[in-house]
Amino acid sequence: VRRPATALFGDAPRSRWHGLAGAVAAVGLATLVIFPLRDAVPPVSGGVVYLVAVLVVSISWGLALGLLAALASAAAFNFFHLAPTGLFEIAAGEDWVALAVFLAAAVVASTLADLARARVAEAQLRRREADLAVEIARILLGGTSLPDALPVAAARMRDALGLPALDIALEPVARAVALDLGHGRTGALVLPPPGDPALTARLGERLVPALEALLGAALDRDALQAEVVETAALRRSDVLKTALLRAMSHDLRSPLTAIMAAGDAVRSPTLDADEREELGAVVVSEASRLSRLVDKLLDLSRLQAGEAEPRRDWCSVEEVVRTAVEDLSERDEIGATDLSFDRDLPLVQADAAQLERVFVNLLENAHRYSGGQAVKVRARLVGGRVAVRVIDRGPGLPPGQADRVFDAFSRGSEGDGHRGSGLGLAIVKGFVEANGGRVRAESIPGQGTVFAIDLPVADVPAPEREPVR
Amino acid sequence: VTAPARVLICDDEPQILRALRIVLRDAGFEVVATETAREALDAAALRPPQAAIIDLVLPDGSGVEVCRDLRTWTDVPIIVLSAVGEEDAKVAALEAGADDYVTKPFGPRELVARLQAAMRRAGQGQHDPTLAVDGLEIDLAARTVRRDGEEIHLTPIEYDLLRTLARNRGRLITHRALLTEVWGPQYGDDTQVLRTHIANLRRKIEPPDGPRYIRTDAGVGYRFAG
Repeated sequence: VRRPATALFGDAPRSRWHGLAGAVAAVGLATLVIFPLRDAVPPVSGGVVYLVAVLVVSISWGLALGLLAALASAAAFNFFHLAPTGLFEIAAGEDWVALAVFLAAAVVASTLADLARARVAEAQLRRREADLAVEIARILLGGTSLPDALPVAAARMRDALGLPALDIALEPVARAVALDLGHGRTGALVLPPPGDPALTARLGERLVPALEALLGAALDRDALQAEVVETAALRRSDVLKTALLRAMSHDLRSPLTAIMAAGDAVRSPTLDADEREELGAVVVSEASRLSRLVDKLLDLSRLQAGEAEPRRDWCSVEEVVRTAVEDLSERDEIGATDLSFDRDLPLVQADAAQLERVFVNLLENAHRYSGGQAVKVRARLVGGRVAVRVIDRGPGLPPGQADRVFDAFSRGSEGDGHRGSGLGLAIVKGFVEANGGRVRAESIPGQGTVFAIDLPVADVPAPEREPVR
Repeated sequence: VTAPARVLICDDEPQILRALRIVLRDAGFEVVATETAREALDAAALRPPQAAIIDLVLPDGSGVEVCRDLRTWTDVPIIVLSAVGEEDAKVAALEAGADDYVTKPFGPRELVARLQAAMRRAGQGQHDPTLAVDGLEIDLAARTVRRDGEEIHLTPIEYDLLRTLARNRGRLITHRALLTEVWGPQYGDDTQVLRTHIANLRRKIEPPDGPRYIRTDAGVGYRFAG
């Protein structure tokens, strides 16, 4: 039967047979040692040597063998060294006293030695428990999330306890040691069958409470971390909403003001035909400006909410760009646009509607800054990607602005006289990247800006080339 | 027949100008429409207007600077056009000398009404020894205040606040302007003190069913009913 103290950390207990052999050897050795000492000291004093043997046996193999060694020592002492030797008899009365004193001393020494031995074993056990708890704390609280750390901690505990298997669960498990993790949470320490009540009792003393506290802390930490991440996301979205409101304040209110003023003015009794025509045009153009702004807001909020999942299908970049140009020209939004496409440009797999929004926004932006000069669009096949460049001859971007133009609400420097919502390029970037493409801006101040987009050509060949208009 | 009053408008939205020109013409004004701060200041110098309507956001600068520039040589009423989110610029424009503001999107009739009220105030003499509004009577010479004939006892600070507001009847006075006028320039930011005294003043002069004389423009200032 294993003693729980040693079983806890899987030490092999020393065999009783080894103990018995050790006791016999110790007593025998003591007996031999006393022979040469006989000349120097009176035989009665030789008993002290046996005490050493009894102590060694007690410390090494415990109380039972210690007591056995004490009795054996008394017998050997009597037989070999107390007159008459060779017989279990004692001649002198004082030798009786010596033997009795020796036996008593041996029993007391043996008991004390065993107690010390047990204390040392206990202390070692506690230290190992503490070491194990520290190690599990490091594993559970050391940075990785609890689901990742749990198997590592369980494996470490299994090895330390010398068990074939051990599992830590964060939910109740039948026939396992229940763990109270605080706040009504329950976990379980699953030990391999058959259960060892002594081991369970021993674990319940120190390791289970430590494990409960650590798991509780780790769960709390994970919950807090999740909260922090959520709060940060909320704050980001709050900042965005505030920026949105500020930016929209001007952009929404200006067309609304114009429409309200035109609506009021159109009731004037002194209106002539030209003025009526003019006011009608104000209402239509400002309302369409509002409608475009709403489109952009919807695009952007979809992108921000991660809901812009592209519906990819085969589409022709040339077709998409031409549709965008036609759409804008119909609404009189843009000036001359010079288009050039490589022959046999491969189809790309992308969401055609999103790509159209990309080019509408890019063309609007380019024309806004081109100062009336024609905007060029070039599309070529470069290194397995369809590269589209939208080129304007505007003032170019200020140094260092090439990346920032894609941030929502960034727009040309304050008061540069160009009206834009500051949303278009953010939408461009969002939709291009959602479709697996890349976009960047290059600019030479004073000479113009190039927006370069490239879209991957799918590995699978297009099923059927559609004729390009 | 007097010539129509000339009004200078400055807004970078040509569509708004187009419509406002007709609305103001019908209200009996002659309109000078400009799109930039530069144009506005040039036009004002060439043909001095009797009132100005200035957008706070202009392509070549801020409406606040236009107000400040105009105030260096003219006292004509100035109304600024602002949008929600431009509170700071609005307060700055009032402190730079603007008389009032309207928030976009505004109904054109509201703008016309504000403009006419501001011009009426500008035409009024400011040195009547007594002011009487809707049952409230302020005798500036005797420093006494009566409501429905009954004298109301005010502390010196409360009286100064009331006098400052009443002398600028109908005009929006910013927190800073009130603090500077009543307490002195070094107290310009002490809006908490101002709020406390305005509350005390209201308790004394306003009828229990709600404020009638002192109107709050949240975050900007106060104006005396007019």
